[in-house]
Amino acid sequence: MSSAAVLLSVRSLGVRYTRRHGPPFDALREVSFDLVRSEFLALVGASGSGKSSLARAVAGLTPCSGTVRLSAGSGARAIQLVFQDAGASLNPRRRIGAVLEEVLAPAPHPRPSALELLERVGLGREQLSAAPHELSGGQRQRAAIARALAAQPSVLVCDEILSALDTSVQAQILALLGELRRERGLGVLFVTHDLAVARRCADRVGVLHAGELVELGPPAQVFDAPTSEHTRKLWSARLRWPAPHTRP
Amino acid sequence: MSEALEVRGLRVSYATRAGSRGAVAGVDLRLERGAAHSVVGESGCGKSSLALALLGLVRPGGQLAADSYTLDGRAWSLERARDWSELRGRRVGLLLQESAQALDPRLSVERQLREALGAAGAGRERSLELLARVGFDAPGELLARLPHELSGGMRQRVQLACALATGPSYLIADEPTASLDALLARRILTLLASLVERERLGVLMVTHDLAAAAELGGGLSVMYAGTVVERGPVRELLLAPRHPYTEALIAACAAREPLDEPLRGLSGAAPQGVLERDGCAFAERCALARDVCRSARPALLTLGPGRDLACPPRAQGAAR
Repeated sequence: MSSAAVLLSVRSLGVRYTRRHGPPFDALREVSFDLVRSEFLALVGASGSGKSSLARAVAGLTPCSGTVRLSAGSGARAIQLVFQDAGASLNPRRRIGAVLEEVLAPAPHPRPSALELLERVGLGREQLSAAPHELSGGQRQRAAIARALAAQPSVLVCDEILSALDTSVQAQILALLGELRRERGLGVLFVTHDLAVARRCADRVGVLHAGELVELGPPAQVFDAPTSEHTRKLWSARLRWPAPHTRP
Repeated sequence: MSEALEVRGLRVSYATRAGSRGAVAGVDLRLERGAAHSVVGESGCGKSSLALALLGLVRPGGQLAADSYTLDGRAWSLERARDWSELRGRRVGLLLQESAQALDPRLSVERQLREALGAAGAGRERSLELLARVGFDAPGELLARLPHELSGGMRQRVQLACALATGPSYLIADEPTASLDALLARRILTLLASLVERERLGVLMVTHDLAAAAELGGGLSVMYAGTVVERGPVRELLLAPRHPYTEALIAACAAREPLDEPLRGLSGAAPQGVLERDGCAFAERCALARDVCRSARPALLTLGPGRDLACPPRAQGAAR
């Protein structure tokens, strides 16, 4: 991959939380990686491994050390974050259309309309005037993605966005992310606890353990031939699909 | 005496502004002691309504009815509050999704257990024993801790210890692994499976995750629009599904093997509640649908031992 294709360059990223009692806690230490155009990079790890701290630090929502550099020419809103709880990125008291208009307003022309954005994520005119609570979980997550797209990002950071959704809806959202990557070269940083999704859908997988990136590579390589003991443990503890009968 | 929890023709409906809306439309279910059974389906299919109804619980505005409800051979009245209060907790326990609300945030683990055990059974020894049963190696260190001082996986095991405190023979677990990561989810499922195996607990688990059902083992019911469309041993259903909806759920599941095959999403949205029209509720999303599917609601037919299917095109030739 050529360096021109790099959308996001993360170097020596660290997140430190101070505690009232005891020494400060490093949620993230010396994490470095690049995200290239159209790439789906999954970040996996056990609870408390630093996945969400990483997502929030990259999106600029938490103070951090190190550097998060975007490719030249990207605007201030080039990184957008979508949360597990889509309600968190949608103002509950405003209609979806108004939420989108608000994000669209500062964008340069030509820019899409709120309706075009909703149609792009598989919603329609009916949802323009809907309040977030009137949508299903899957529709809300689509609306949150539309809201992120309104800022014309080059990188979408997704923090456990599938966790609250049915499996069939998860597959629909993953398909939508695939289309957006192909269509506009969107890079996706996908934080998930679902190893099967990472194994199946990601171009590369990063494994976090105790705040450190212990492994990074193509999913087949990372999971089938792990170099880190932590990766091996994580993968072997996943929920298993039954194996077909082997008759004696 | 048959040691089972058995319900026939269970119906749950909710009053809405537009009139009564069905959530569960006449489901039969049998859960034996020492057996596990999972109920899967998408949001709105009625799986949680079904599970909670087995404890006489309905959401506000809900109505519950059944042709019969028997527990270990005894018929229970759905109308008598006294029956439910005897049944809940003592005979049938409840485990909910791990959340901040599942345990009282102000009470230490010891106090939570003491409340669950009740005045008669309370005691430090009993508490320690319960914590050991749910897999804590050093339960003594846990007693003074508050819920927020525990990890999500630990809180879920404390919740399970509370559910087991009064010695129920059956446990209803509603999405017990939904907010846990894979490691912790597997730990809870292994624990439930060992309670089934070692203590002959009957476990009914509601989940949206087919891989969780596979891990628990036992039987599986697939629900759609308030009805069971396919039922059988979980292994068989996942490896050789017959209902097109079961097939679609599996195709959309990332945990399915082989892991190199692409995911196939299911187009359209799942209905919320029971559809008030004739025919198979899945027909409009089904490639196999024929006239017969649209004219009458398919009955759940027995294909073989413990294997039921509600799909006329697929049942033809398969049933004997």
